[in-house]
Amino acid sequence: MSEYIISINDKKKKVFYSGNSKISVGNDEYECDLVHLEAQNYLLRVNNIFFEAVSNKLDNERFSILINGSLFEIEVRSSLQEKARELLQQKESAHHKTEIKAPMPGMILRIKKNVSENVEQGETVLILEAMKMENDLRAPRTGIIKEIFVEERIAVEKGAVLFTIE
Amino acid sequence: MIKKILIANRGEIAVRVIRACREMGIKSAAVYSDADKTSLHTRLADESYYIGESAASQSYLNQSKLITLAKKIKADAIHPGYGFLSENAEFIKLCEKEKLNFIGPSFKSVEMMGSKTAARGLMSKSSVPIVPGTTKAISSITEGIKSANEIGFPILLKAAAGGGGKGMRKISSEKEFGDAVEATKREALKAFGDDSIYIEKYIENPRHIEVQVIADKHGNYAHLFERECSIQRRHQKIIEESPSSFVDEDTRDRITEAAVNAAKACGYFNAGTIEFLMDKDRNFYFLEMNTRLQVEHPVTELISGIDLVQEQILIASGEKLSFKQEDLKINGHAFECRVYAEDPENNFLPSTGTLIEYKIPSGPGVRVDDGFGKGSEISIYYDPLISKLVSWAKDRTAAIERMKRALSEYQVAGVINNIQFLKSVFNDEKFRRGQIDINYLERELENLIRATLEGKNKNELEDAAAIVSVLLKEKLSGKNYRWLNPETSKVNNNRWQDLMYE
Repeated sequence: MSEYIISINDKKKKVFYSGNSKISVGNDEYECDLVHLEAQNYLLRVNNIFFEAVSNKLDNERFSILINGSLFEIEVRSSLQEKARELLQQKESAHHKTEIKAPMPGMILRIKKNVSENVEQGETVLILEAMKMENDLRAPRTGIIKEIFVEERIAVEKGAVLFTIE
Repeated sequence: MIKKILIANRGEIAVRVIRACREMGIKSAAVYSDADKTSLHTRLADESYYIGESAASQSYLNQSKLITLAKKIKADAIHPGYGFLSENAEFIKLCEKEKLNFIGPSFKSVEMMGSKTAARGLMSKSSVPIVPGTTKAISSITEGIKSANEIGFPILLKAAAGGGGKGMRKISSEKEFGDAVEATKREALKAFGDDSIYIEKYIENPRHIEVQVIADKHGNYAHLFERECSIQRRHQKIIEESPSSFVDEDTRDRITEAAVNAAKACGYFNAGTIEFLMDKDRNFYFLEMNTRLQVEHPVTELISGIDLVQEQILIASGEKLSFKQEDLKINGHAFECRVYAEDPENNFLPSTGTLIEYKIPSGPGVRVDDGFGKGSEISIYYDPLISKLVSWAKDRTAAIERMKRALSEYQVAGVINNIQFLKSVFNDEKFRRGQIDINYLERELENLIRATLEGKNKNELEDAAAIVSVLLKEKLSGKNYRWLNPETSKVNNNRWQDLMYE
């Protein structure tokens, strides 16, 4: 008998796995069956419905799972892991800093904000050119630009930290 | 007859040309850049040649490399696809000089249609309606107001040197005219260093209607009816259909005749497309001519039964059109949607990566033109088009239902894509009733994104995903993981399966 906390689409779901074919998600109990087809492909039966699933393990806690064409990014933690994480987060939030990373490789076309300038949530901070298109990178929250790590006309890799907001 | 074609393109359109070649018994030679080693066209062609680095300038746009290669491998023709060198008059001249058959129009036709103002002039002489407006820059406000009244408000002030939506202003009445002229002039001067402006009629929420034309080198012209491409985002077409639900018989007669006149005016041969804007009273105005095969050509192929690429090859070989205008009639209704690696929930940001899962829909009336397979890489270097999904059925409603069915069968993992977003368009009441124009998508975007999220994040899917993740986590943590159902574990112990999969 294991208990897990699942984070999916900013929601948390409690999942009980009894070790046999019974699994409950929140208050719903299902009878399930999972067949490994090949590589990352699985066939999942939930009661009387079959789902095609493709799983991509991102790290020990995170999976990206495609179910019938819809893609989900999921974090799975045992109840214990989840509690430890929550404690850690409470400590960190005392001085909160958000990192904004490049969503794809490309070239920094323009930087519209300066360090220590205020930004509103949704405001464009810089423009990244990739695939012949200009993409606005916006502030995910309101705050002050703490650091900018890039310059105009330079190329960046996917995942590179571009700037931070405090 | 042509024996071997070098395809100077990539992705789905290269695959499309390869397929036509194979059916005609012509050898196909593909080219690929570093970024396209895993693309489908390199696998499907009879021969594939490395052409250079990923940047298009080093590969698909490198004229001398392409010409040298074509001669080396003894290709007798070059198919340019769309984009890249397809409308490059210099390249066509170069092909002619090197005795390579360019599968497209003459460089003269391309030049005549290449300049917007020159094309406008040519059209007005050839009884093809153009957007009414002044032909010269306005010299004074009084003169401007006089012209504006002749054309009829609302009008659009446009910078003569303008482009990209800059230096444009809509004016609804005479009162606003003076101030607007001053402001537009200032803007034009700042942006383009030239403050001359002219007047054009403002067409409110027009539809994008285009006509497929085709002509051979013997002076035979035909049209293959219209397509409607009103579902656009930032001038990028996303969904196309044929026929248009808005065009009636009388309008069809007039617009197709105008299109054939436009093709004749530039001495055209090859497949081509005349684009028009159509207002709510079904008046239409010439926009531009595309002197190449169009991305959305499959919808026309499905309703007309004509293979446009094979026809292009025959025309380039000097053959006559394989059909007559009177042989053609519209059969049923077809939709195409462009499946892009992009994130509609995140301002349509392009997405890159490896296709770890790629399963295409099939079944009655479904066609997929794609350039990738499982394991292919979608790179940053080119357009993020994964495929064109096309549905055909006896009428518009049935074709919509078929497209929804096909979209729900499509499985793509590894890159973020717009499949769910497309589904929400095909579910939208206004779209289904044909109440669309080129501003539809922008106007309805919020609703469509909301519907996309709802469709994707259904509770039953979330729960299923949660179950899969828990079971995989159990497996990873080395806990006595076993197949849940004893029946299933039996299947997995089957010796034949062991041999196949272990």
